[in-house]
Amino acid sequence: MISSEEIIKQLENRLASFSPDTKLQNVGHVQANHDGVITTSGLSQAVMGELVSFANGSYGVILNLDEDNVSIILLDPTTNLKEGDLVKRTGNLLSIEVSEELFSRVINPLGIPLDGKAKIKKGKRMPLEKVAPGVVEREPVDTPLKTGIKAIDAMIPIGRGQRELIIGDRGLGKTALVIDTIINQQNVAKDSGGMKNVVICVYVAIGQKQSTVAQLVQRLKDTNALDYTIVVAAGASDPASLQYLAPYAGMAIAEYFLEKGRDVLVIHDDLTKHAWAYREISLVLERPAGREAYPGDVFYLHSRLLERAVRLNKKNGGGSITALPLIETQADDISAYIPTNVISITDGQIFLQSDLFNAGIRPAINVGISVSRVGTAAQTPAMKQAAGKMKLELSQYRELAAFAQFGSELDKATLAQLERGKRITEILKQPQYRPVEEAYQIISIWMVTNGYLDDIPVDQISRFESEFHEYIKSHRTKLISKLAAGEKMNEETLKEMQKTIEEFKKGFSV
Amino acid sequence: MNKKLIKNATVASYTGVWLDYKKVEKFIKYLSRSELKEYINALKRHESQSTAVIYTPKELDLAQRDMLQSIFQGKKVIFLHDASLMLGLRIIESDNIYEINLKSSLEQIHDYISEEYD
Repeated sequence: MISSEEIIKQLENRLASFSPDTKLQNVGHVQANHDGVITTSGLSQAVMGELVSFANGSYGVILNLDEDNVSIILLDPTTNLKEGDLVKRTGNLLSIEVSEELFSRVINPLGIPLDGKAKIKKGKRMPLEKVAPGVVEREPVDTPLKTGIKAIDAMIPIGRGQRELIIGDRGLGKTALVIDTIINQQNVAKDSGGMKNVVICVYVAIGQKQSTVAQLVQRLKDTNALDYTIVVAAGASDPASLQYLAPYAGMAIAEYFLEKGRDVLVIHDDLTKHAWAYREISLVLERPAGREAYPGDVFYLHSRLLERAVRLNKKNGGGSITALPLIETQADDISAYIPTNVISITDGQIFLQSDLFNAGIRPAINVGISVSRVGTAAQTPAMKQAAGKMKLELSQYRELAAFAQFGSELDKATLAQLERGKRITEILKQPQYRPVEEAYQIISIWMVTNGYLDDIPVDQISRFESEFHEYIKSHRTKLISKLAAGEKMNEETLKEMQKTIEEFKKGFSV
Repeated sequence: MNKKLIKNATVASYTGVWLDYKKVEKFIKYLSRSELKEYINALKRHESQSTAVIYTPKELDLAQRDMLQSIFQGKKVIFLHDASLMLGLRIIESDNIYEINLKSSLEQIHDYISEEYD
């Protein structure tokens, strides 16, 4: 039982550093409330982007500073604000509390838990808006971010610190690609020193259905990927203000870990809905509408977000933030306003096409028009060696594919090219939620590009590959370790691979 | 009538610090509905900028009032009573609130302790 003297003593100790100041508050009064935008008078000392509090306990952010009034966007849906209500400045810009406790949690852009678990205890407050690191603090991207997707890791490699856009129509597998990438990070971590170096993943769901987010979280949980993932969700039923803030919250969380020298992957799913939310806010704020009714600064909306993806040099901690923004197109139209904006910001794009998806090629990546501007700098020497000629062979195959219908009238070389192309296309197919480790990718790609699958029927390629992977897992663990190290394959390794394939083929029944 | 003219009309509607109703009646004859709305808002802003409201826990004597009035020269000063302040003053000038009272100090202590013990 603590005595009253002890309580008083503790309070005195706590208050030793306290000095009461004359409290000066700059306030305003609500004038109007239109569609979640509050117009207030006063607040003459408020700054742009400042958090303000209302008399009913709700919060808003200042998005317009006009001559005689201030426009505030509400951060939570509230209907009991009335004319004349007091609005106070908080003196703080929007920020989110971040700590290691956020792993496995689902939160909203203000840091409020959505998963029904306890509130996150005090962490570091990270500002939602921040100036991106300058040129001097950066380092070239040279470390691969392995997605586990063969088509991406072989021909459109992504590096840590890169921005790679994933673009395509609805339902083509954009989210599936990023989920596989998240799941694969634990495989990568196990190959290189353990989970303490795992790439931390931040998944930002913008304007999505709550059921979709719930399914996604469950999938990550089932695959043990949620342990190193943080989900920031601003659903379809949340105010446009929260959907607008969500990507910045995700980036702020990533920057907390970046400061600690960690590698972070941030996924924005998707920025099209983010642009819609911003358009909605801007139209209600009566900002001048431009092309497709988007405000004039819609490019800056995304450029300032994605510029924060960075690879820092050793002097500044050596961490990285890799950004995978998603954009949804309509009818494969990549020349629309928002897609072209984001294409010009990012360091490459992965195009998913509906005709490939419908033809059963999944992931439906159009390798011809997908690009990674970082390129082979983000590939291990082993992968570079194995996949070097794959893109060329595929492009030659596409050129000749139109002639496939004249099968009996083509010369041997053309036929061989066509058959090779079909087998490469088949090997690049991959089921959902089954990312492939790099060692197995290298083997699969090497054997198809060097003709070892030319005698296997196309419809048996997939079965051959999965059984072969099982075979080498149990019979060639040393080979797997060698390939996993990523070093360039020497003669000995190549001979061993050749011997393994021939051995397996003897026992494989077509 | 544009915004600037309405602002000028607002300033001209005052005689000293007091709103002159005769001048207001003259102006409103020439205003459309939307301009009238703008004029009213401008008057409210001007009123708030040219008025200082001082809350005190007890009635002030003349000397104290004169002293406070002299701080806000050129402004209309309104004295109101608020016993919850206990000691000190609350001054509302335009959109600034100055809390120089015991109630505010106790609230600050409460907020400080709450943050420390969170």
